[in-house]
Amino acid sequence: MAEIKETKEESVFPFIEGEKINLNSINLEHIGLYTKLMNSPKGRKYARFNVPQTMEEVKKLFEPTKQEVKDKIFFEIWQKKDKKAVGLIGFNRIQWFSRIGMITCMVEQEFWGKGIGTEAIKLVVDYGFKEMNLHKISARIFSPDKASIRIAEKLGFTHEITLKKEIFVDGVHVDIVNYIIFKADWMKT
Amino acid sequence: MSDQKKTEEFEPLENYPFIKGETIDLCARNSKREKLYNRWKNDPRVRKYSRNVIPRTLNEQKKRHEEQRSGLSDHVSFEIWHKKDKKPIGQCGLGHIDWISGWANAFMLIGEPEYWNKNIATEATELIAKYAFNELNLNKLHGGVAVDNIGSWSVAEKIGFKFEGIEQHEFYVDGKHLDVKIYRLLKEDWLNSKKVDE
Repeated sequence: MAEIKETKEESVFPFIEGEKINLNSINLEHIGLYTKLMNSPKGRKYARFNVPQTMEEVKKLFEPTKQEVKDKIFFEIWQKKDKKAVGLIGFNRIQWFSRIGMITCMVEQEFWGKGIGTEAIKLVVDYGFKEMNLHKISARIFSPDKASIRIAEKLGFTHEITLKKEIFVDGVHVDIVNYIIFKADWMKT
Repeated sequence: MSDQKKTEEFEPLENYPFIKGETIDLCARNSKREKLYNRWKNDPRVRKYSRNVIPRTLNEQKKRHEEQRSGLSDHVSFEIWHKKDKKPIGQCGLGHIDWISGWANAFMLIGEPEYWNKNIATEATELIAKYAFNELNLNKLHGGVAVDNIGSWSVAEKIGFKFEGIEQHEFYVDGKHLDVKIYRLLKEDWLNSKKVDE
């Protein structure tokens, strides 16, 4: 029997196709990138990674679990032009009964300001509503993280609640702002 | 429920209070009472707003609490002991403790509905707040209550929790998407309210 040989190129395939980017399944060969994202000082600042993450720990996060129904679904953000993985996006807490998903997104610093986050969130919201049949999608943003607030507003998310002095960042307690969108409103746009 | 069944799930045991109150004490969980706890968790009236949507078996529950914990946990739970009636009537505690930002989620369950509306939840929450702020050095307590669950959010307001806003359609209860009232109690506000009382 002929052995199935996979080249690196073949092991990268899209799950969701976009314009500038695709969303691929998580690739354990790219743990190096994921670890870098979670440790980078600017990247982790508003993502709550307060302790160093080792490659082994990060790998564990993405390894298959025994869970029958996942409460987390993650993708790798693949930049088409450079043929390169540049970030992670997904739902990090899915509540199946209320049908609510919470978005998490991290993009490599050198690719900030290129609309990659915006497109990735748009794709994942579309997936959440049209494939997963979610009812509501939310994003918890730290108030100093103006770039994320701008993306949320641009995509039609609305402000739901401000939690005062909720999180400790750089020596001070800062607010968390919740942005949300309902399926009915997303489908109109 | 027959008396025999009640005795089976509730063995009279010696009780060591960890925090003393007036009507109630807060004690450590007791593994000999898992059957009783399990009945509370599955009771339709009790679980309605606590989102226990899937039946929890006794074994699952035992396993959860048997797990060897090493170091600091993100969860502290107590049994609520009714002093006059000499029996456990519920559970309360702190969940999702965030040791860095200094907050925790306060939870409460009065498992025996005949003890509802008797200010027991208020006393227990007050004891939990004192414990969180004065012993664990936390900074803030969280509470999220379905708008229909008037009993619970009036407890939060009585203690001095501030209403921060509404999370829309956050719970799904009895065929309806319910909004959730979000409450927060800051340590400094709680300390100030104690000064006024004096």
